[in-house]
Amino acid sequence: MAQSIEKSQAVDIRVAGVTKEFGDLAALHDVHLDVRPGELLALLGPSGSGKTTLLRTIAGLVQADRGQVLFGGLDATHLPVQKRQVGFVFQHYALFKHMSVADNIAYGLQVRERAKRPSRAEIRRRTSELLDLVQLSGYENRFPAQLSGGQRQRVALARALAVEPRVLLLDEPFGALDAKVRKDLRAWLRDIHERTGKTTVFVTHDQDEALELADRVAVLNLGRLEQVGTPDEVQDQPATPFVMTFLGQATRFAADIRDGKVLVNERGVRADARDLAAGKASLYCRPWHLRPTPAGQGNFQGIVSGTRRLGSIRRIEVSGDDGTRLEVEIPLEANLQPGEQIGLEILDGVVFPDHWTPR
Amino acid sequence: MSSAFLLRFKQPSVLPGFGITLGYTLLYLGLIVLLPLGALVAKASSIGLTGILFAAADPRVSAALWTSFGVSLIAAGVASLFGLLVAWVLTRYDFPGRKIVDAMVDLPFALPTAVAGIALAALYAPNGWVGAFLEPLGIRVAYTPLGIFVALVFIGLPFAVRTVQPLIAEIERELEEASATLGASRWRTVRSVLLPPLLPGLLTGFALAFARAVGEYGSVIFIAGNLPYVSEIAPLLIVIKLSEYDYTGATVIATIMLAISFATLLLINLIQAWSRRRFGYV
Repeated sequence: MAQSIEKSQAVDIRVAGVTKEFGDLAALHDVHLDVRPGELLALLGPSGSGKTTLLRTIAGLVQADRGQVLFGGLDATHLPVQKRQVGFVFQHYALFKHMSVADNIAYGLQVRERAKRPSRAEIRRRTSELLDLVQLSGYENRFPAQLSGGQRQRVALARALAVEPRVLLLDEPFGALDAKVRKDLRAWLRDIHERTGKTTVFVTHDQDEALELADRVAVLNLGRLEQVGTPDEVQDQPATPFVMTFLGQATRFAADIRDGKVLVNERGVRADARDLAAGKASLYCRPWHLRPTPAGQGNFQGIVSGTRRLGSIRRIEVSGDDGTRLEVEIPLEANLQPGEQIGLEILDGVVFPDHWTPR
Repeated sequence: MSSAFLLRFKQPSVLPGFGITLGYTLLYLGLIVLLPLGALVAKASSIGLTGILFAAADPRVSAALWTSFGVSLIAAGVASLFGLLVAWVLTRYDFPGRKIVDAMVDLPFALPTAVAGIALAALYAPNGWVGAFLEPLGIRVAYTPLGIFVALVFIGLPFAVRTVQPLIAEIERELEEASATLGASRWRTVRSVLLPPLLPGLLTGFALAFARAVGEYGSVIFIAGNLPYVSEIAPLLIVIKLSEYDYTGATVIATIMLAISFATLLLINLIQAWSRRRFGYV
């Protein structure tokens, strides 16, 4: 009993079996997701994966065909947007162009019915506090058209925070900004999250952004939730081949599993295959899971077709004898020239049995 | 000296020809707009300011002026409201036949106004399709000021629709969604988020519909009944004066109309400039 209460308290938002279809297209397929209080959760996926639809379903901007959305244990599935107390930040800011920065931020407080509306002085105080938080003090009388993209997005965030939402939802908040501003805003958002402690869900298609910012990452593909976990979990123990390939450079090898061992081209690999049944499988390797060896040794034979230096490592491209191309990371001092015949030893990797079905 | 003077107005552009286009603009503005209006005022002023004021005080003339401007203002207002709705529906929703309805909005532009007047009179006459239903309720449209109003709304509608339509298309749907997530009611969203950006377009549409309504002749005379002191419009009175060879009387009424119209349009423009500043459009 006590445990179940504790459990319900540890969930701020619960998405339970949500399905949404647009025409024939399944935008979301039976998605279950728990958002914990105070966490920064990333919804990560390629375009068309349903991540934005999921975010909009939580906000109430999209109605699920099936399933429930619960806020703190209460069913909010049919609660209208206006009553959900969510702060939503749009990719293209959606600022009210005819209102000054201060009026934009104060809007959520101004529109409250008289009995719940703070006094004028209180609204002004809150507005200037928020302007301070987003580092835009002195800009209160500007109009959105007079701000840069990064500044606009900061105003949009302050506007969303003004109503003291239960949860902050950000839809590709940095998607429309250039690389430098993105990076600055990333650190800044992390900082704001630490200071406000607000439960936050944000959508992104950029795995670096998700891994760098989020406490936990939810990876979506084709309307299905593939995995939810901390950045370490999704990187070290990807639940599906999709998660493995989406989170970074990965090379697939055809492998066999026999007696709990993984074999590539009949040579053993140290990858973990204890729970897998014997048969055909795929081994996915990161570039640093591969080590060059003299020709004739290792699991894989090929020719070096190019090398590039990336900071403290060198990345070489190998064309395999079977026609595949793959990338390997080697130490700077290892001197390999294009055209050289080499072998590759597979040090590690993640194995998925073929004919793999999602759990 | 004159070249220095011209240089000050020279604007760098990939398309040259400022001087020649401005010249043509001023020439045609002079020939087509200012010259006739100037001649009108010159003719009217032959009887002096007191003569003009005296003519305006004539009960029949002042009644016609009140009818013309009063009904035009109301009709332009109603056309603006109604036009806003039509434009909203045509821009925001997709339904079968939307393109056809959209094209029909322009018909009042194209139709000879007399045809519209005759059609409206036939519809709203006590034995017409619509009039027959209104007659038992004690509402008479044809041959009353109400008839003038109906005709002028018909004439003004396309102006109102076409001026706000592009502005509605520009409003992102996300703005409504942002307003809703911040807790604003639907009406509040309309009032605070959607209407302010439309205000300049609404005012332009209102001004155009009003200007057109004041000058409208063809459609009104068929439905108005043209009773002196009741449903006689100023343009009709001008025609009557002309047919009586009272050229001065006609130009005097025309000059008064010109002055009132100019003052009204100027006022609307000032409101527009104010609203632009108020809502941050520069």
